[in-house]
Amino acid sequence: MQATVNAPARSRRVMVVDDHVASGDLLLEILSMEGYAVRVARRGRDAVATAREFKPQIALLDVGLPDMDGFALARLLKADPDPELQQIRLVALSGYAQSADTKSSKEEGFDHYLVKPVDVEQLLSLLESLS
Amino acid sequence: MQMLHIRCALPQHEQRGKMHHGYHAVESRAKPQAWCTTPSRGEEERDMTQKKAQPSRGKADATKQNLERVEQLTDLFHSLRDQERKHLSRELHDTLVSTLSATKLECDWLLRAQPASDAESQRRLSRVSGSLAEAIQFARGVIDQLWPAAVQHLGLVGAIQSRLSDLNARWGVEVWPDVQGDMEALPETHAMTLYRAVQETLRLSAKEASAARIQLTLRRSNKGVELRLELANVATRRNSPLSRLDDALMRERVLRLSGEYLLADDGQGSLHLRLFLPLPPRGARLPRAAP
Repeated sequence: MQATVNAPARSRRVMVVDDHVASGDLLLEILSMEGYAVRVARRGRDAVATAREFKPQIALLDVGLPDMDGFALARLLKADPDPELQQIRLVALSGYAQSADTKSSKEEGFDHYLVKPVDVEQLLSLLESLS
Repeated sequence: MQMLHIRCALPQHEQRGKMHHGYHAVESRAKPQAWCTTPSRGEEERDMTQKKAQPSRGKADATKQNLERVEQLTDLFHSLRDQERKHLSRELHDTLVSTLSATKLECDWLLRAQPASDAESQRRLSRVSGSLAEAIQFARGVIDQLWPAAVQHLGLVGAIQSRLSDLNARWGVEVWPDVQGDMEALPETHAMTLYRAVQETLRLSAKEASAARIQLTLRRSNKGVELRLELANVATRRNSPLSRLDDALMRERVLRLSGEYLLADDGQGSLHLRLFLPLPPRGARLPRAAP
């Protein structure tokens, strides 16, 4: 299942991957109002298909997805044959504050980490820095 | 009088002994070895009285079977209990925490959209946001106690450090972790057992906040992994029925891995945990963890 809102004010495309419907939809709404082009995927395998079609520059990945963990999804996206996807900036959304410090997280290719529940100001500030 | 050549004996691997300082008994149980050996043909021919031993042999066999059955039931009990806890923790995470998190995000978004002139609305929304944050933290604590998924996400050391950091941040408890050796390649059963031991011991401290200082040492050697945990100046609730059950279950977990377990208070307000788990040889079959 996917949801999408396009806002042309900014050229940045953001993909949100979160299996919790309310969280994903809320991020879609917030980021769209901030002018990002946004798509939401609920599952890991949907996210790969969405990424290939939408070609986001930034992806917010929930680490705990039902069909695969966020680390596995990050590996898939970074290893995609599409060179545009290989450049994707990955932001992990994790419930563990310690995730940002773990060696394995860095090795999986995440560029940034946000601890859930996501702080709106922190999220927008991070996206702004990546834009 | 000829001696009977009965080779079945009480298992040598059962050891129970008192520790020093009047502490509670340390227990260890090596993996069950072969309980009986087969007498040689010569021995059988030499000892015609062996027939008399048949009732005893039968009794020993029955004892052996009963013990094996108890071990199987214990394995089943632990496995089912873990599965149930894992299921509950996943449900709580996927429903309660996710919903609370989304509500907090919505609340923060509303707060951001409030005009600065509406101070009353801002104050109320801030209060709601803070309450939601507390509720999320509480729910995560319950989830972690049910099933410490952090061990899988962060590794043993990361999970322990995360837990201790929380204590430090919430209660200002002084924490001294000291880890030596590679803990990342431990079997999952061992990592979970070590983490749970830390978790259960911390729970014995009333509200986890009364300890003035927490010292944790984790060492890996060729023989195994040793965990030492000391809670200084702590008010324990060790004698509560739930704590006694947790203590008994943790002891059993450790013994199933042929380890050693000691939990004691020194009579001077400090609680000490010492746990040692031998590392299995490669390819060895371990007690099943919950799927």
